[in-house]
Amino acid sequence: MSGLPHPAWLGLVFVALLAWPFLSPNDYVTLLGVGFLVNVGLVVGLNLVAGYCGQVSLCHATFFGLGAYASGVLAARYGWDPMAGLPAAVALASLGAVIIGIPALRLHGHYLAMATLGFSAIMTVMFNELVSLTGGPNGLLGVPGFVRDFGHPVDMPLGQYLVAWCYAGLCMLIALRLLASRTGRTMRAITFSELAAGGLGVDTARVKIAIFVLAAAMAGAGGWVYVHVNQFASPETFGFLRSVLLLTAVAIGGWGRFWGPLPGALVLTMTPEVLGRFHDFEMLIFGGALVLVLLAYPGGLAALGAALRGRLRRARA
Amino acid sequence: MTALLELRGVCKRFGGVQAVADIALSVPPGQLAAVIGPNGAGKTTLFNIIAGAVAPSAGEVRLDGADIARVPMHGRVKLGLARTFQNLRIVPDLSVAENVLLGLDAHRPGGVLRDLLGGATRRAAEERRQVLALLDRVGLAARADDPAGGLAYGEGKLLELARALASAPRLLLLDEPAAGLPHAEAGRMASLIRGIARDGTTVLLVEHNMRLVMSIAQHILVMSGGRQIAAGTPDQVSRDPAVIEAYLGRDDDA
Amino acid sequence: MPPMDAAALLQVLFGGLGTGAIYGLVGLGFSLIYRATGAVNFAQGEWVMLAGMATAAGHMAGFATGLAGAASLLLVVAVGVASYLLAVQRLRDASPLLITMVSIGIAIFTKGAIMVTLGKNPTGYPGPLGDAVLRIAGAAIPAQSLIVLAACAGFIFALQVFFARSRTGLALRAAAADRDAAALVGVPVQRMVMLSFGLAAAAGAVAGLVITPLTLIDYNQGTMLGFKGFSAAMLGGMGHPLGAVAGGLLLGTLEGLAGYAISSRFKEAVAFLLLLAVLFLRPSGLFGKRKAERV
Repeated sequence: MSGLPHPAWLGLVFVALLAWPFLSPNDYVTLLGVGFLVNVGLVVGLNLVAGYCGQVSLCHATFFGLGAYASGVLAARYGWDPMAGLPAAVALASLGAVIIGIPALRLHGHYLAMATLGFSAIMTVMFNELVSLTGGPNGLLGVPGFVRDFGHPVDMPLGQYLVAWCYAGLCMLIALRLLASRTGRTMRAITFSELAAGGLGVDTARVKIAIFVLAAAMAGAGGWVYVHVNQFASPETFGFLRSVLLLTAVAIGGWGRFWGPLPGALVLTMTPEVLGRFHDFEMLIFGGALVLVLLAYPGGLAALGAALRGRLRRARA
Repeated sequence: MTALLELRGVCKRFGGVQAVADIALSVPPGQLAAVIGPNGAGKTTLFNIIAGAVAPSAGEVRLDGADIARVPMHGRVKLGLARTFQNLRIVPDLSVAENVLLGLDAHRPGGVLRDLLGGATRRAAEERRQVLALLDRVGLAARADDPAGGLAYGEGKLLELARALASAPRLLLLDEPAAGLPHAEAGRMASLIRGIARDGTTVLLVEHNMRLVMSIAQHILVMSGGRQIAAGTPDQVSRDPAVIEAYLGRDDDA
Repeated sequence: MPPMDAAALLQVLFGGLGTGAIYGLVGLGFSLIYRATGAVNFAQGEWVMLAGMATAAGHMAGFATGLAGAASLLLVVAVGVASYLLAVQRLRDASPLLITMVSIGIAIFTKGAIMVTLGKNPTGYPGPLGDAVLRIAGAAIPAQSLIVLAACAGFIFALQVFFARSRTGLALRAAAADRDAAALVGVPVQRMVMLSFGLAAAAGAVAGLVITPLTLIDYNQGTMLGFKGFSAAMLGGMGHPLGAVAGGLLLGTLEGLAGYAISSRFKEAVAFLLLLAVLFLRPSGLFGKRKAERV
């Protein structure tokens, strides 16, 4: 499909990303890389839903949280091995998406926005109030790291980076495969005109639900990475604001652009770091940036990159 | 012989407006039929009822004898119904060939999971051959890999036709196929449609362009104010006083 | 579950109606902009918060509360109109999806700007009746909640008169019903959309002005008020201004009862759960007409 790279390019980018922990001066910077990669996975999934299918989902962080709490609670409270928590994380997040997505996506209009918003609000209450499971507002403590017994503990930054690297790489690979397939074509048709897609024999609701659940599964896996890297989870990480910031990252990176999640996640990860003690300005900046990007450059940073490449090529020729 | 498409007592109300009132129509297999009428006659609503985009308030829609009133739009495509759109609905950021592929997809099994696990790429060469054959038929083969957004209006109409044919329909619904086309292109469209019908596909078209309809249709239903005012061969309807009064008398330049 | 005595129930109902009136006003704002653009305006709740915060700031600075309130109302309307003129109107492809996204940007921006300029602490000001409490059949009802109900009713009445009687109101209804047809008969559609933003902002501002004396307000509350308003509008049937008000009253009452009868800890969750259940069973809302899908 137009605008999709050869898979080799994806491989090249991810091989280059492997250098980060070896270049980074300390663990803190390595862990920033982990945060970036987790965000990449989250934004890739949301980009499929929002960017490619045109559906406003306001609970992506909730799916992230369901994954994190599923594996975190099983490991911290019931002694499960972190590796065994991955299927649980993916399953719980997907289940949430099925429950919300099936009724909401069969309807047109703003039902998904409303339903995801309601789901986000309900689950925020649950994360806060089911104290005996989640630890409530104080957070879930005592979550084990990935591998505790491997000669020396691999819950060091390098091991964590590798897990997150695999996660983000896999998400992008899945997205690439999907977009290059006929589902990718179908998604374009749906975004352009649901009526036309239906008239071509596409069961639009089914495709939208499938993508929504897939994105939630990706977010659930991201929660699994997050909770075992940080060995902690607390409700505000998975709230409405985070969902909105993820949506903002999709738009800033490039709405429906394959490479968009990389710059989008970079901005999302780095802005609080760059702001430092001026972190109060974060919302102001993200809000302003979202409006400006939508007004001035709807293709986002990924489109800007593509335009620059084109100009460079022309200049050389 | 059963009709391929049969409408009985089809009605549609929008709020207080009776858009379609008690329409009956029977299209035998292989026929090239047309619905005409002045603006606001309810043609497009009737068309959308047949295609499944609008649910009728009352009446039966039968395809090959089976009632399809409750079959959703996408399900009707699988039953052998294909349509084009009055205002172009080709996907601009896909290539011309990919737009035709969208039509081919209609009859292939599979879903998101199947696409993820692969297997879709195996048939690529065969699909490509089919796509090029369809594009060749409408004269767009040379533009196969251009972005569809770059096509001229008339070319877009041809692409819609190729895309609809891709699903190998039994009944092809054409929503104003010649609207907005200059005279020469409209003529070319007319001969394409006639060719499609001659090859055995049943065609129902909704048109504004009287000359086109009169030259190709075998059976014509004339609507005005949501009702049927006449039906028959081109000769019969063009002599019908009600038609002349409601349609030709006021709007003979269409 | 506490025993159901009549006085307590009355108090819960009254409290619920008061909150519900606020949700209704906010929902009215959602409905107005939805009718004009087809989009969900996520900045609506931030406008409520802005009105309360700005009035509180004026009050703290020593201005008369009434004056500060009036100035805040104008400020919020100006912000609403500016949001349209500076952002929404300039979109190249003004699809409902894009307008909704822009409104999310405006919402976070507004929230961030208020946090940075007016601070993070909850503030407030006394209402015209102070802390007076009415005792009705054993229930203690804050006098301010009567003002809330009166303001809500007054605003809706004024809006209805405006829609029904004034030329501009008629033009606005025409533009909402069918943009193209309205443009053909000479209605300045863009101006009508701008007016819808102004009216929606005014509805939000009135809600903010009357609720703040009851609950105090901080920069973070706009979001939740916005959710509730959106819920009210969906519950009543999106695009039906009066439906939104009814939806708000119902939602507020349900929420109050849920908090009383089930658990105050889970009351938010219960309210949203009920809301989703209603919407999935009756997608067009409680008061919306079932209408055919637009083609």
